[in-house]
Amino acid sequence: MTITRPLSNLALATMALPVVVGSALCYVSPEKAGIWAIDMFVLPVLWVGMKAAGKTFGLPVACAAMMEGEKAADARKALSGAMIFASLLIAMSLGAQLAGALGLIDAASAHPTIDRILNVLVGGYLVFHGNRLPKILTPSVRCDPALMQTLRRRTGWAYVVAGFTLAVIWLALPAHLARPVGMAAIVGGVLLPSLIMMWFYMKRRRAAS
Amino acid sequence: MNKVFKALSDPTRRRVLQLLRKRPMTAGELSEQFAVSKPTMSAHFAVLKEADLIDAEKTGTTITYRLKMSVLEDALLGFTQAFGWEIKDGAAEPVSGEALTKETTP
Repeated sequence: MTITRPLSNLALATMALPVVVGSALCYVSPEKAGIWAIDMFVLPVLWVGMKAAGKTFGLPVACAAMMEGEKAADARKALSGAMIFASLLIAMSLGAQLAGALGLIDAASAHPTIDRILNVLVGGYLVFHGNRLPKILTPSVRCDPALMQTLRRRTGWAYVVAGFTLAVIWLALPAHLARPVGMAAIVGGVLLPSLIMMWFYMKRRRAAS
Repeated sequence: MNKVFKALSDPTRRRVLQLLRKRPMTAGELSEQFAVSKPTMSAHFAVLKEADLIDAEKTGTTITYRLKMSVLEDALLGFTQAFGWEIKDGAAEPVSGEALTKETTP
């Protein structure tokens, strides 16, 4: 608890970074304010949504975030780490846009490279997080332990494969091809398995109650 | 990582991990699957716990073991299973529960 509380606070503080950089970008380049606003608020909205969903439906990820104990603390630590990483990535991306808008860098030549680096980093993080996902245990008081184990193992594998694929795609393919193929890897390897697992969890939970 | 390799080098411990892949099981349920004494099984559990491959949760007098393997360790288990890898001359092969207990205690 003593470690996770500062980490959780740091995650909340880091979430302010994209908001700060995005606000500056909105001031410099107001014609794309709608796009910057999505980047600025996607994580805070996700954070609030996850907490709300956890309280309402007892979803697997949020399940641990709401509990006490050593294992729940591990899960919260991983969640905070993911939020910090995502905040830094979005802030970096917005920072590059801001530098381009201010004329500090040549936007046309720098953006493809920055895009490539960011996507390889995202792929690397998915591999890292997916690998340790099955190791994060939650107390089995409110969650079906067998189901939670299956969820974590399958999601972990899906994340690792998707992350590795994404990193390789962005390292090897030209940007115009890497974008759609990388997106397909994310949707197929992260989003879809996560949604299927969540649907499966809810179904089992409803059947049990 | 050495501890993981050592834990995975034994067929009994690999079988324990395979059983735990299906669902968390109690120490009794797991022991029933093997023709070895309970102290030997306890020593195997200790090796797996030390390698951080399983987690033990005590409820009253029952100990429930859960899988705690990363994707890489899971892949390594599949790999060792496929190739039947074992440490022949190392200390990983259990002779008796007592010998294993000595091996695991620092």
